[in-house]
Amino acid sequence: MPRTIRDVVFVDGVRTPFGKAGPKGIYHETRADDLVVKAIRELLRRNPDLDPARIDEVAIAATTQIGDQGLTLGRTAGILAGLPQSVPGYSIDRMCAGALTAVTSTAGSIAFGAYDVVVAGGVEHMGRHPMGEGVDPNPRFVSEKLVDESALFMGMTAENLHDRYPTITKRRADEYAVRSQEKAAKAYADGKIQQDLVPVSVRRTNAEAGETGWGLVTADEPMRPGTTMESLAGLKTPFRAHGRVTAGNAAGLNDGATASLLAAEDVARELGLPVKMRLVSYAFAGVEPEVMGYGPIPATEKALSKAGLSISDIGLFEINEAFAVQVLAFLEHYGIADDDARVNQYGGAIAYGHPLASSGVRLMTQLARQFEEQPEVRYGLTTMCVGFGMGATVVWENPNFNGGSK
Amino acid sequence: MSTTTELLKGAAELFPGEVVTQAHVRHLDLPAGAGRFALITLDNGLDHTKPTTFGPQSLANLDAAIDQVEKEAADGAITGIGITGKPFIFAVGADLKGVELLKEREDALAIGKGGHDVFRRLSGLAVPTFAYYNGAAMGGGVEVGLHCTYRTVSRALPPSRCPRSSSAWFPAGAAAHCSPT
Repeated sequence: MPRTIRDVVFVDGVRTPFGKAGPKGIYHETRADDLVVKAIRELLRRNPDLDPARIDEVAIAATTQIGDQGLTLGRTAGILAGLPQSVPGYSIDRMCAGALTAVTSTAGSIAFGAYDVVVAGGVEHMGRHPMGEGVDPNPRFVSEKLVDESALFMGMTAENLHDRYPTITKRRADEYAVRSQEKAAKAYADGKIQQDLVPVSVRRTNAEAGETGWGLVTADEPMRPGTTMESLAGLKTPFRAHGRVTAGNAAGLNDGATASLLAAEDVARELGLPVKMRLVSYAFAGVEPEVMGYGPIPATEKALSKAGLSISDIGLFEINEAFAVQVLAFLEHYGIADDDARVNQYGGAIAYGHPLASSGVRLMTQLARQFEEQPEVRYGLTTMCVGFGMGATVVWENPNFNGGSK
Repeated sequence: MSTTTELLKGAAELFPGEVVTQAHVRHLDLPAGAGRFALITLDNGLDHTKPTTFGPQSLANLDAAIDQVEKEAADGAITGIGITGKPFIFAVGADLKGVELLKEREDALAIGKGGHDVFRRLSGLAVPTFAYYNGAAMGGGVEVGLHCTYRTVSRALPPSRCPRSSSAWFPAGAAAHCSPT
């Protein structure tokens, strides 16, 4: 049977506001699966032209697939969201790049012709499921020195990355973090973020955390507008004495969920669905686990090379800010300024938070909004580092491109 | 002290074993900058197997919550008021365990009248009121929402019922009487 590879498009993306993990966090009494259900329902609400029976797959990522993040989340969330029983689903894990991998895996299947329309997203409730919950690393990792012992502690890998890039000082990392908070505050003031947030009703029974009863979450909890170099200077460096990585220049521990709709371009056009981005290429790459923050560089090299593009063709970057140093290493590698206007225009995970397996779709949703506003840009990319030494990059084309300069 | 408060206080003394429903007031920011909203959650602190009821102290708690939001509404501090229940339960009306303790006509009247008086306040506030029937609702539980300006009913909700209107057993809740036709 002769096949034609089909173009894959990003139709829409939404997310819950992100919360701070822990007993006082907004989602402390909210289930992880309920967060992702909210996001899926919002996609359907926003795209009434899509018959839910046309959805061929629901791929949902979570890093810790236990309890309310277990039980084949893609399937169970689909049922809970009210999708027809005929719509299947599955779960995905690539730690921080979970939702990104949900997108690329289903996109590959769309291109192959297996699916027409899919839901891809991710969730991480790091309050209910702290990083490393229930893990049982094989002792050979250490006994045979397969990885450095620091590889499982993300903050330590970030300190290691600072060592590899001695020019990336704590000062540069803090300056980057301040800018991320400033850009995020501006994006909020300009209403760029809220339009893709789904309000979540949340219950609180612990009076120590605030007013009790049902509430409604409509904004990201982790943001710290007004962060200054002075306020960051005094923070502890918990991963190394006299180190450089602090809670201020890294993403926090967060709860949240994302979901996106992808489709074959011809199907999207036929159904009258929006076409916000066109998939160009994607790639994953492995690096030394003890400097996992380096991962986006080889992943981007691979993705660009598959697309026949160079870094200079990229007009917009959405880089996940697990750690400021990891973004700065990427920028330094490509000779891009720390404050380049093409990079994370709305700020990043340092401000919004990084609920591990959900973040990839947040990057895409924000890039899609930037494409809409900047039709002079043709290509953009979303990239992230991944625990245990990986990077993940997706290159996107702007369907609004007007033939402009970039 | 209002007459309602006194009535309920007297009834509460007759019913020391009441499973008391709290009326939590929580404030939230509405999406799209639509303002600040006060949401009352009826919750007896137990799981869904012990549905939330309206005994005299419970009604007094709701009355106090309405005092608070009434003032906030009058002061222009909120743009709307909502009332909802704990997970799976909105409210299931009078606490029937209290019925057998009632010996005097006046005591029974106090609970019935007290309930009507408290619920009715929701129709006379300075901002719109909303009932969100999120779970089981019966009798006075249905009625409380009927005094609100608007109502929503969750698709997850089992049928709302007004058992007393058919049994004519203890005509305290007036849900059937208040129902919009």
